[in-house]
Amino acid sequence: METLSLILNWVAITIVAYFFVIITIYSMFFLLALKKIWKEKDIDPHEPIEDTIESVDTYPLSIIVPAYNEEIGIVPTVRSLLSIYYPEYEIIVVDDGSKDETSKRMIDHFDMVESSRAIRNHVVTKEIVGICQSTTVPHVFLVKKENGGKADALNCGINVSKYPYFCAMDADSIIERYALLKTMKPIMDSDGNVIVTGGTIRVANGCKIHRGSIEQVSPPKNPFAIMQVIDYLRAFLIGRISMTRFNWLLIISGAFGIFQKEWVIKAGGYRTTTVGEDMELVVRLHRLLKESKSKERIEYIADPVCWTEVPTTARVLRKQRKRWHQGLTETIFYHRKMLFRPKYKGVGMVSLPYYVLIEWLGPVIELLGYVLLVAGLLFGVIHLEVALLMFAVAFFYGTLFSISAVLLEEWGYKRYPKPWHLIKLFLWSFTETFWYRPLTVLWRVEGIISAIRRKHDWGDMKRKGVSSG
Amino acid sequence: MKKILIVDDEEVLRMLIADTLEDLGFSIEEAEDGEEAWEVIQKNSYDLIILDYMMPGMTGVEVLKKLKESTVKKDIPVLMLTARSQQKDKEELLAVGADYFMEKPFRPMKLQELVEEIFHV
Repeated sequence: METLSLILNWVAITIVAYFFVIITIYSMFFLLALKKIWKEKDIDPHEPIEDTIESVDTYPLSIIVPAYNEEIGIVPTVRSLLSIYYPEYEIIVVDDGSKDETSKRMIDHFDMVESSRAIRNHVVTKEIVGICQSTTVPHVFLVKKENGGKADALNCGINVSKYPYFCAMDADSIIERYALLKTMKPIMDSDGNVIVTGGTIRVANGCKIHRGSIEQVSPPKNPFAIMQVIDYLRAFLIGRISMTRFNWLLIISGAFGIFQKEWVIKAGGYRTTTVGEDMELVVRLHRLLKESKSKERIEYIADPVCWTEVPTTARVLRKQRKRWHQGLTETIFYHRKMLFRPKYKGVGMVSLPYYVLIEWLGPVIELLGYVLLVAGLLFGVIHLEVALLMFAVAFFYGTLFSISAVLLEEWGYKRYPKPWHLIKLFLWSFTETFWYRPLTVLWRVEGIISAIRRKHDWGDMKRKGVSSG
Repeated sequence: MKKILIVDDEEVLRMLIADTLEDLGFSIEEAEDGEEAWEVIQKNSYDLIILDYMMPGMTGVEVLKKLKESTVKKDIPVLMLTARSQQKDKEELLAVGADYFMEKPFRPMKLQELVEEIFHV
């Protein structure tokens, strides 16, 4: 019994040490993000638009919206995309064999007729059943295809699209009016040397939406949704801002990203055998760039925002988080050869190892920590001091960066207009360690198990139609 | 707040114009044909009328003529929406008194720029 207790105490101390390492890394990320936001804090948000508008004509864009059973949200989403401020673009909704009336709603609302548009076979996809074009707004298209999953639908959209850049976005998200222009800016400024860009995803739950636009920002009431507001702030404002600085960014969110089509085709399009097709594509592009010794970059910019509806029940959130972690596991597995290979520079030496050791392994270690903490205290096998230290580290880790992210948001972007919005976010941050974090940790570990079993689907998220109203 | 009337028989286009201009802070009213448009024009005052050229029943040109003949309403600026094939009709519209033109199909960004120019935003 004494030997067991000794081993468990040492395991607990190792876990604490592991979390100290994570806290150190996150602190560095925070400082980098702080520096970046400090530099950009006083820039007039409209200034980039004025600069960009001069040269944007040469960067026409296809917006690809993969849709599966989106009959409630699809028309408001397209409607909101129609009033986007961008000179030349087309909207391609890809109905991935929906069982509901997704296509019918599109055809009826936008007066669509069959189109004889040419399709290129850049990437092999499931068969296209038909293409329709709106008679009233001719830059709106609908592609009906056999079901093949989100990645297959995006590939199909790439085949149908006619412009050299495409924007991949979720069917139930809202892009801010100037977001495309702002997201395109790094591509234009670099004269095409930036091949992928992505903006920030924020939580639309709780916001007042009118005619497909966010009219008033406010935090949601649902506890799961409010914790995700904090989650997203932390991921985007701390993690991605610092990663992009060194061209180490491995994720451009599937909900909103702009890609140079030529490079995506060169890479073979989205991989249909993973549930994490967004991250996998970005890692594959990095791999291709490094293997072909190209100088092109992948960038994230914080200002352009896409608002999305997040799950409000434990059941749906669990499904989503499982999928995300399964996707991460699969991506790491596919590209394991890049790990610690100097040939892949920062991506192989730093960011991929970071994702393996921190993002992927983190939940396993954290879950082990929670089990040890509870079991150790119940059965008296770990010392009270060690247990308290573990709890303190978990609380510190969970809360500190959440609060920091909320502070960064307030200081740099001020999207939440009222003081009580921030107080609410602050107070909820303190509860994270006690319920939200253990749950998401558990679900992420389940994602690893799912990856091992290799099960995947669209996720069946029940939508309320975030763009409606 | 500037008030704009959109007159078009196509609901999707009315919606597109309304979404674009409402975001810019304009107050929007809609009419789906010439008759309805003339009725509301007589009752209310507008800072701009966006008028589709081709409509069943009372056409855009007829609404424009009535408007420009009216002593009270003739100063309201009118932006005519025309199809590319109707280029030759532009002269007639200009003669009747159209102030601005926008060719259909159009990108909302172009409409936004034109409306901002009209109101010197």
